[in-house]
Amino acid sequence: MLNNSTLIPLMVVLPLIMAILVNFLHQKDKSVKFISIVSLIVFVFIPVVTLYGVHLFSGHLRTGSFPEISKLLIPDVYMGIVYSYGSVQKILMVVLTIITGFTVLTVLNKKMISGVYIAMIFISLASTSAIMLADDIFNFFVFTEILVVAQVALVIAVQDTKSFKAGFKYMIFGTISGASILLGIALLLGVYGLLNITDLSNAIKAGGQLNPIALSAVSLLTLGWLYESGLFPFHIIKCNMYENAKPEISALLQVQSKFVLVAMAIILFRVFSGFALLKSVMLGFAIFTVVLGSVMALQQVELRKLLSFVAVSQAGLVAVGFGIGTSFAIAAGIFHAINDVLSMAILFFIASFVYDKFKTTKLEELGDGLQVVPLVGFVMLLATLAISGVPPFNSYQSEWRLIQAAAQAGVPELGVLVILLSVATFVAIIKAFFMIFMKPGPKVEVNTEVRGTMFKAIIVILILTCLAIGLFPNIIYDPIYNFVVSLGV
Amino acid sequence: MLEKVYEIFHEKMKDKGQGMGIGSALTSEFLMLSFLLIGAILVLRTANSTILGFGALIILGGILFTVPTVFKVEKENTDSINLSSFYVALTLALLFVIFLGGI
Repeated sequence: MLNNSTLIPLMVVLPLIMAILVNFLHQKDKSVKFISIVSLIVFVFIPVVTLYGVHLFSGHLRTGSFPEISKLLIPDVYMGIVYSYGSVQKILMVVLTIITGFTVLTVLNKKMISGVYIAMIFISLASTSAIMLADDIFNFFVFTEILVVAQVALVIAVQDTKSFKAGFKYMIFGTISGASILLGIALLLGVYGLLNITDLSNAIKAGGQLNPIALSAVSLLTLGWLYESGLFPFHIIKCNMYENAKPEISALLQVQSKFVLVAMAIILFRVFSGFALLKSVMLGFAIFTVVLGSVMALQQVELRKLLSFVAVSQAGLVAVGFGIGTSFAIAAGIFHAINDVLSMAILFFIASFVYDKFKTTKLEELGDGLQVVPLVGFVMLLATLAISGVPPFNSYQSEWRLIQAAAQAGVPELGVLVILLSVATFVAIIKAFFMIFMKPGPKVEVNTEVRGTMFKAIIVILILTCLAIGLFPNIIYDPIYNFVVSLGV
Repeated sequence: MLEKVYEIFHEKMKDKGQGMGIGSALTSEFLMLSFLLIGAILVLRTANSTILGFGALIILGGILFTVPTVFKVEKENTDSINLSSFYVALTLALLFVIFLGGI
């Protein structure tokens, strides 16, 4: 019988095995479809049944005290990889696997059955899971690299010039950020001789003030965090990826980016827990991203680009929670990441449906959509309210907590910033809603073959989830808050 | 400058559609100014540094003379690899200066 510690790595290993399997079965459509659907059920099931705990891959012994810190003694380096699974990981994993499931179902429904394409989705799922579970900083780095490759593969599968360009640029900056993360890890390894995050955290606390080499590592790792999260100055590159991927894939990419943002911020806070300047720097970049993302979103005239900028600015809002730095604010930030990915996923799925139905996502060319697809229009209106933080939806609960946290931390200006972002988000998306569904405009060609039953089911499930979380926020928020308090950051 | 802002937007938005396009661009302009004002207040109130305080005031004053700002922001926010590389290099330098210099 499997015990709990065996189930934890299955969240990474199983998607990887299934990715290899569906890759081998490429062009055998029925087999790929069957294996994909069975795999998705298993992927959602595993995080639900797995109990909290730690999985040791190679008998890693946790070290308590670090009397002698500095020299790099390779035999003393603890190479054991550890995966830890707590309440936050559980919630994030469930949300991630469900949205991955919806994305795969959409892909299968569009008759785009490709073993390689599904394999890339599974690899990106495995990588994001490993990033959230890893308690080893090198293991974390390896999976960020795999994630970048899988994401680029998903984008270039669109096979047009713009998607190739977007993927290429993402890869170029991925090499810069990957190199900076790896160099940061190497510097930490040089100073402390440790790769395990808990051990590193203990060693840095025991070592007192950070020396210049460790401070350089902080700089390099922060740059890596900005890239992985799609924050300024990488927001345009990330936006380009969302815009040029198929919208249902963008729904998945934005989930992965925000969850990696959360996972890496937690790692940075754990490792450099006593370093207050890190929080201020995070806050600065987060505010920049919020401002630029929302201002740019307002000016867009193409639905996918508009949603991409909204997704980026919302990622900035998640980072604002981390930047404020109190337990309350960090918990609110993580809570907002969960709420936001659900609302954004609805909007990207709607963009996908609009593209299939009307063959365009240019707002000027769309109009009168409410007469064709009233349910989708109604759900888009609700999703707009949800993402703008209007009660009783979920984002209201997290944004309200962020405003409270800002006021409690003595920076009420950030509360005003959150409100302004909500207004900007609402204006940007309601403009798109009006132009797609209400504007009496040119009669666009409607593809009557696209019924979108699957899309409609997915967006209704997601909006109901948003409503449920908005009405009962404590089911999600309380475990997150307890987890953040237990971190002691 | 501020009283001519609608005309400026009308002129600049010719190729991007009128009406709602101008409205949303104007909204983004006012949002941008609000963000900057709040940012300046935040820095002036919380930063315990004369340099940062003066810096915030100078940037705020400078921006008021460059209204409308959104078109300049849009120009800087393109996916050009040159611009992006420049900002990445600038960010890395800034991170090193902040963390190692301890501003």
